Amino acid sequence: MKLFRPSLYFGLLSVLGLLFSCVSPDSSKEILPEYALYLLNEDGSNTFFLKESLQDTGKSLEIDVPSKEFTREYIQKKGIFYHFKERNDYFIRYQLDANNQMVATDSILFKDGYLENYLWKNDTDTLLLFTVEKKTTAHARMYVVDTKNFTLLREEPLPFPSSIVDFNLLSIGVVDFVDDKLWIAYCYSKFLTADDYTTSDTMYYATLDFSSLEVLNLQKDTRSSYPGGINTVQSYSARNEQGDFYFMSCPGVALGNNLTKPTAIFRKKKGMHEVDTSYMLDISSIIHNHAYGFWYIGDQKAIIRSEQRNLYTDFSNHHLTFQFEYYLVDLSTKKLEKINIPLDKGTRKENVLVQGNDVYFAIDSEGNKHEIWRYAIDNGQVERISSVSNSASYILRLGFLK
Amino acid sequence: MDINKALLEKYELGQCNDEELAAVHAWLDAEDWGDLDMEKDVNEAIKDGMWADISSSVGTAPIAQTVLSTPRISTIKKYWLTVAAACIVAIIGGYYYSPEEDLAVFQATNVEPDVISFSKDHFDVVLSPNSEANIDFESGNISLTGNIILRPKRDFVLQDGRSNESFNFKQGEVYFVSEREEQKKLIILSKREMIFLPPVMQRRIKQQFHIS
Repeated sequence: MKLFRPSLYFGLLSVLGLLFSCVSPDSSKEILPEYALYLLNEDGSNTFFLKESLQDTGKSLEIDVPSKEFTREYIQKKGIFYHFKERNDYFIRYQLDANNQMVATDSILFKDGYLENYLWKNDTDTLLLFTVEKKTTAHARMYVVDTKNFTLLREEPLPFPSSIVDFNLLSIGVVDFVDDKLWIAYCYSKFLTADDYTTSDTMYYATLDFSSLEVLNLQKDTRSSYPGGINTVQSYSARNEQGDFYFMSCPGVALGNNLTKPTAIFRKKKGMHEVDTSYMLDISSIIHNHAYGFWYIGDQKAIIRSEQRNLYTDFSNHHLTFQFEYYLVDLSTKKLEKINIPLDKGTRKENVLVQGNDVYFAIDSEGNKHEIWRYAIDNGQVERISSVSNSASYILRLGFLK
Repeated sequence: MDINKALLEKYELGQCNDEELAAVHAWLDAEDWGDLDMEKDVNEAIKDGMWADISSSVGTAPIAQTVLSTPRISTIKKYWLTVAAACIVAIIGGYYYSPEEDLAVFQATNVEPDVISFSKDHFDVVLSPNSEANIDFESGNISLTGNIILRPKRDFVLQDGRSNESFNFKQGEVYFVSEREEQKKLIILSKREMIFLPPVMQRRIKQQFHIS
């Protein structure tokens, strides 16, 4: 009889185990995530890390990306994710289902292109998307999508030249929409050899009538090169409380590769369709490095993310090197202040989030640490508040889910 | 079965029958999303299959296409394309073949205007135009000019001949390996790490290797 007891016990255990294993998938329903982090993991996979809180308290859930071609280049608003699938030119809408799994719920077929920039028109449900043709990387196109009904409202080529002299690769770096007019900052690059390229010395700012797409004004600016960048990857512009619009140029090695030009912040004042030529915040002259990434945090303050040229050698280690620093930039006084958090890795990331009086940073620091750091805007205090995932290599994005 | 909004809504609400469910799942998982014409030429096929499976892209060289009158995707034809590719390499003359050497040394030059692919015992490799690759398992060295995409079929370590740095290549991963004259070492990036390259470079590579 004694012999049977252990087996009975183990039998009970396994029944209990079965019960729990049946229950556990449902635990994903119990979490009400507020934040979504997009990870690149050590095994090469991408996952979303959904969190109720950025603190260590609260539940978290790691979910798969909806398809193996889903990349970090997504647009997220009110819990809905939009992604342009480059391979077959479908613009796809994804949503979280009741089990917090991401599923595709609709799609629109675009023409061939690389997605360069997006803009929510006047903060409505209308999404403006800007692409360049794949084959030439020279012809730009605008798509207007009603995201409420998920229908394509318009689709038109933009009247920009396909090249300027022999610079034949077009980049649409910054877009803005004011008074029914579209404002677009763009530039041209070219290959010097099979593998080396540079960007021309001129930034172009075009104001277009939104209905006709007629160019109403064209401004040329040679103070820097490569305005902005692909804003599904990283932020490069913002509007302040007074309605003034700020954007950063990125001529550094990771974007424009015109190293004679400085990384700088420029301004387009409220109601103006031209960039204010009297204003330039020359980042490079202050920190002697280039920067990529600009996040406005309120009250004329912004965060920028800068590289350290003495720490990396080339593209073999630009992303691997713990070199990225964060600076608090005062747009009025043009003063920079380094934020005292560990050096970060990863070329271009959307990992700065402003919530109330706090700025959160998702930092991948030395010793395989992947942590959330908090900067208090009021008193400048910095604190490590949680650790994210041990299987991550990079936290590529940190954002709200709602 | 056509994937449309009504079907996706049914899917969302869990009202799909098995056939519809299978169609939606296939659509979601699809490499090609149903719009790929499998009757298109090999270049189209490699474009869509590159990352997923380099071996399926064997024989993408323009010469290989002229060898076959109707280059289409099928296992038998893939085999012939492999043979064709081997012949081309033999003609180019940079490559020598014998059973023992096949394991130890791989050497190939691409003087063609399009990519050339090889499927070997230990790896698949695609050479961009004007590229030359030298992978020597005996000495453990890799050297090249231009760009290649390498997919190891087993784990191995290779040393960059110029910088003497060793690199662990992992089975199943896809690597972009690039040599630039001005730099003193190879740039070796896994497929996932290529997102860190400047967009201008990423697109050049995608165009070069017909990835998108």
